[in-house]
Amino acid sequence: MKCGYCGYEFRIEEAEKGCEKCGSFGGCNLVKCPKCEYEQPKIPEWINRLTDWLKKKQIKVKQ
Amino acid sequence: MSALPNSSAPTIVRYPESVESVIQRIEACLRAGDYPFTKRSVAILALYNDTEILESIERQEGSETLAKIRKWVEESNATGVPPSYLVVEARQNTATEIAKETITKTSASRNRVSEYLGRLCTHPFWGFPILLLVLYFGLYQFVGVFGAGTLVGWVEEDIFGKVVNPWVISLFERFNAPQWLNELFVGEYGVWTLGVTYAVALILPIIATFFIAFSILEDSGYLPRLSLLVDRIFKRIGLNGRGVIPIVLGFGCDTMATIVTRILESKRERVIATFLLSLCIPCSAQLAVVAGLLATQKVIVIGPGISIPTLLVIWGLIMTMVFLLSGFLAAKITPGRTAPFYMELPPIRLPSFANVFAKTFARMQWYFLEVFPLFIVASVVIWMGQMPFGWALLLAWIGFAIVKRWGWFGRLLGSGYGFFIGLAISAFSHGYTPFQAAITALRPLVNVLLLPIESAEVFLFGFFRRDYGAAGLDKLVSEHSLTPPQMLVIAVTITLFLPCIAQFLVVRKERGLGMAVGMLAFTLFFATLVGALLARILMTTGWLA
Repeated sequence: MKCGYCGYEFRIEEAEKGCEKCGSFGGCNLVKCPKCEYEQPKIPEWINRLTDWLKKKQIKVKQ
Repeated sequence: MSALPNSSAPTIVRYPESVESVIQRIEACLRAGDYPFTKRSVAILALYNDTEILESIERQEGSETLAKIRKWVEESNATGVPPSYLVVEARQNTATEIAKETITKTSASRNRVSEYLGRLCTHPFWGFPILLLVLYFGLYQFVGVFGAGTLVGWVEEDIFGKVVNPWVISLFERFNAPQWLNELFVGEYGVWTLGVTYAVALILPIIATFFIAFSILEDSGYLPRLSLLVDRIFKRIGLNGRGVIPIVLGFGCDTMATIVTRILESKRERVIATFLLSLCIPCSAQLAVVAGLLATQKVIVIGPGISIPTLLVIWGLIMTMVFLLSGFLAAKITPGRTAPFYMELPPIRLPSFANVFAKTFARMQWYFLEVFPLFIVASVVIWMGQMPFGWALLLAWIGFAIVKRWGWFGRLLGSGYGFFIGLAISAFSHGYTPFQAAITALRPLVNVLLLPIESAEVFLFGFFRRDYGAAGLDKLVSEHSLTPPQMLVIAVTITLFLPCIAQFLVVRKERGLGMAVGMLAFTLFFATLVGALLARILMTTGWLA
C-alpha cells in the first residue's frame, strides 16, 4: 500500500503495528502509515485486483 | 565494551560555526576513552540530548562535566534554531553535494513540469493562490455545486422524495400498521424517513464528491506540499507542518483526527490540535452540507463562468479567523516551544484513476458502515424521546450508566430504579416528552442567535453526530425558508458548536475528563458568543438581507 501523504510504500502487516498504540474502540478499518502515521482506509482485496487488471489493460493498450 | 580509536579522518560534513564550536568544546571535555563511537560522534549525540550518551558521559566524566555540557547545549538552543536541526540540515546539504558529484541524471527521468508545479505549490507567494484555486474548484464547484446541489437534488428530491419514500409510506398504510410503528419507521423522525433518507439521499452524494476530491489531492502529492506551505503559519499557532495531518484528517472525521494528534511531538502541540479540532474544524459531512447550502446563496457573478458565493466566502473567512486567533491565543497560553519540521517530499504526479477510485470506494465504505447504523440508532433515540414513556427509558439508561461500576446487580438495580422514576415522571408530565424538554432547554440559545425555534433541533441532532445536525440544517432551510443572514449565523454556530458524543469521549480518553469538559464548556460559550455577535451585526447593518 502507498501512503497518501508521504508516498511511502508499505505492507499491511507493517502498518498493523501502528494499531497497537491506538486507543480507539477498534474496527475502524483504517491503515496507519509506519513512516508518518497518516491514516487512510484499507482498500478491499477485490478493488486491488480490479485496479491491477485495469493497469495491465492500460499498459497493453499503450503497447 | 571496548573503545574505538578516535578517528583522524577528515570531517566531511561542515556544520555552522555556532554548532561546530559547541561540538569542539564537548569533544575537549571527553577525557575518558570508553565510548562506543568517536569523541566527535559522542559530542554530536550529546547535542541531540541522547539519553544513553548523556548517562554514559555522567558515568565516565562525572556530573560536573555533564552539567557543563547541558548548559552549552541549552545556550545553543536559545539561539532560536535547535542545533539538532542545524546538524540534520548540514548533513542533508553534504549528501546533496555528494549526490550531485556522483549521480548522473538522464534527462528522461526528470519531469520538469511536475518539478515546477511542485515548487510553485510550496512557494511562499504563489502557493496561496494555488490553495485558493484548489478550494474553489475542489470544494465549491465540485462538492458544493455539483455534489450538494445537482446530485442531492436528483437523489433526494427525484428518487427518494417522489418514488422511494411515498412507496414505503404506502406500504405501511396498506398493512394498517399501528400508530407507534408508523411513527418509528415513517414518521417525521422515522428510521426510514429520517435515518435512511439522511444517510443515503443526502450525506452519501455529498460525501462521495468530497472523497473523490480528497483522493485526487492525496494521490497528486499535494498534501505534503500543503504542510510545507502552512508550516510558518502553523508555527504561530503552536503547531508545525506536521500538524496538517490531524487537521486535514479532521475534515474527514474529527473523532479519528483527535486520536491521530498522538503523532505530534509534544503534549503542548497535542493539546492545541485537539482544541482546534473540537472548536473549528468541521467534519466532512458537515463541511460538505454547509458548503452545499451556502454555495447557492447570494452568488455574485463576476464574469463568464466565474462567480463568488458571498455567504460561503464569509463563512470560510470567519472559520479561518477563529482557527488562527484561537490557535494563536492557545499557543500563548500553553507553555512550551514548537518543534522544528522537516520532511521528504514525494514527487507531484497526475492522479491515477485506479488509485482515486480505490481510495474513494474504501473511504465511502468505511464512512457508510460507520454512519448508517448510527443514523438508525439516532432516529430510534429521537423516536423514544418523543414518546411519553421516553422518560422511563432515558432515566433507566442514566441509572445504568451511573452505577455500572457495581457489577450486574448494581446495573440492574440502577436501571430498574431509573425506569420506575421515569414512569412516574411520564405519568405526571401530561405528555411532555424528553425531546420537548431538550428543545425547551435549547430555546434560550436559539433566541440569543435570533433564529426560529425549529433550529433547536439542528443543535440537538448535532450533538449526536455533527453530520446528523448538518443534515437537519438542510431540512430546516428547505422547510422554514431561512433568510441568508440566518443561514450564515446557523452555519457558523453549528460549525463552532459542541463536538459530537464520539469526539467528546475520545477527547476525554486522550486528554482527560477535566480538559474534555473544559473544551466542551468553552466551545458552547464561544459558539454562542460568535453566533450572537454575528446575528446582531447582520441585523443592525442589514448586510446580506
